[in-house]
Amino acid sequence: MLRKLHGWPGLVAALLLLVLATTGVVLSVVPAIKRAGATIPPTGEISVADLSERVVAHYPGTEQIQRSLSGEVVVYYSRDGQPGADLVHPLTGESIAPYQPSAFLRWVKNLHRSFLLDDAGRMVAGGLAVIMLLLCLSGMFLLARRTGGWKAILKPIAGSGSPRIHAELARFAVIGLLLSALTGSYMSAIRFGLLPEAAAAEPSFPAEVSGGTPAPVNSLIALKNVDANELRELVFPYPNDPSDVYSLSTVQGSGFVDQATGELLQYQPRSAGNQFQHWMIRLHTGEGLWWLGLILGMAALTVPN
Amino acid sequence: MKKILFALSLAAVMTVPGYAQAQARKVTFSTQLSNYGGDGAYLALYLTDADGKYHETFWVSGEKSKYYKHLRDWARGSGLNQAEYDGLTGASVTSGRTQNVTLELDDALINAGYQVRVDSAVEDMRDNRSDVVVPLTTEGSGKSVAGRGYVQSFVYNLK
Repeated sequence: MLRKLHGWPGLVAALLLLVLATTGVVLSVVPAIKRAGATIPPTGEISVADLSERVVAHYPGTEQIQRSLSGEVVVYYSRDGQPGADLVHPLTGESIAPYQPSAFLRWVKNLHRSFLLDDAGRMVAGGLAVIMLLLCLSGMFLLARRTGGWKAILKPIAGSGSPRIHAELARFAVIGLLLSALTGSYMSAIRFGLLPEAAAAEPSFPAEVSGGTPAPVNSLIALKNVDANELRELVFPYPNDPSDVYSLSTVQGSGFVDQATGELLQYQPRSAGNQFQHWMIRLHTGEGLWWLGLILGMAALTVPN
Repeated sequence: MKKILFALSLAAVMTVPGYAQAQARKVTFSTQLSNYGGDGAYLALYLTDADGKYHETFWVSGEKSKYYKHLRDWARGSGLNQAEYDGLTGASVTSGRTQNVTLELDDALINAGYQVRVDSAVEDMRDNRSDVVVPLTTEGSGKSVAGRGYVQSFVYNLK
């Protein structure tokens, strides 16, 4: 029964799983490449207020500053009415290069998450993640039976040829594959509403702001209190709109900042459910966890076996 | 008495369609996206007063409401209140495609200083507040304007 379960869905899904694994390998390298290219200042060295001031010095028309979990800082700005986006140095705010997400990686990502077929493809990909989960589990049981129990699972494997290679590779890869399959299934279940979406901590826009004269961005206390490494996103208020505010989103939560008083408004910490969901996604993508990305990639490399 | 009632109801039946015709007008909004080279765009098509203060939602493109916060000005104005956009949502719009939305508009909104706006957002790319801002007037009908974000051109036609 176990052997059947391990073999039959495997045959059916093998081809599609190969696509998922191959694209997964390509994507797994991304966090490491991004991390290698990013400068991460030591914690406590620079606050969001400092960073914003330096960015604004180079980009007077700054609209939005984003920091990826890998440490890249991107500035969205407009200059003479033309929108632009640049990757900038997190300490100086100077431009490194224009920011243009890779079209190739976007294609690979869409192939991985939906076989380029939108929701129908997403369902297939989600189903495959569940199949992979079953393959991993049934395979572990088969391996335990073969080596003579769970305690012996790390002992040398008898036999030779391709069944042995399969078992040898699998017993280490299965950890990474299980994680990928589990988090992938979870993400798909959330996407299709099979599991409840964690309530996003979306603070509502403040009903009242001071409306006073905007203060320089580096003087705003709420921005001084956040380390630049904890920033996810800072959206600047519309120029010449005293009723607008800064929208601040950090690793811990999000809120608004009064542009005159620097007061933090409507702040909401991330809920536990939201953090959990966030971590499940990170454990799948390896975003900001380059070593995990590489481990998952290596595990996926063994899938053809 | 009966005759009066009859006349009244007759009058009511006759005036209601006439009333509707005088008050509502069909408008088609066409939003053509540029080839910005990204995933499908989320768009909010909405109406503000001349100062940019939110008035009402016409249409929101994009399946997942959790991403609506990226349509920043619209999100701020509507408070992301579901009652504001219930039944007015559809699929996100692919790069390079044109989206047509046809609605019945209250006549009082035309030539009254209101502005039609489009906010746009794309995954892993910038959010555009007021990608398009254009006054809602009979004169502006049929005149194409350029957007400043993902919108290549935008035009509305009053019927």
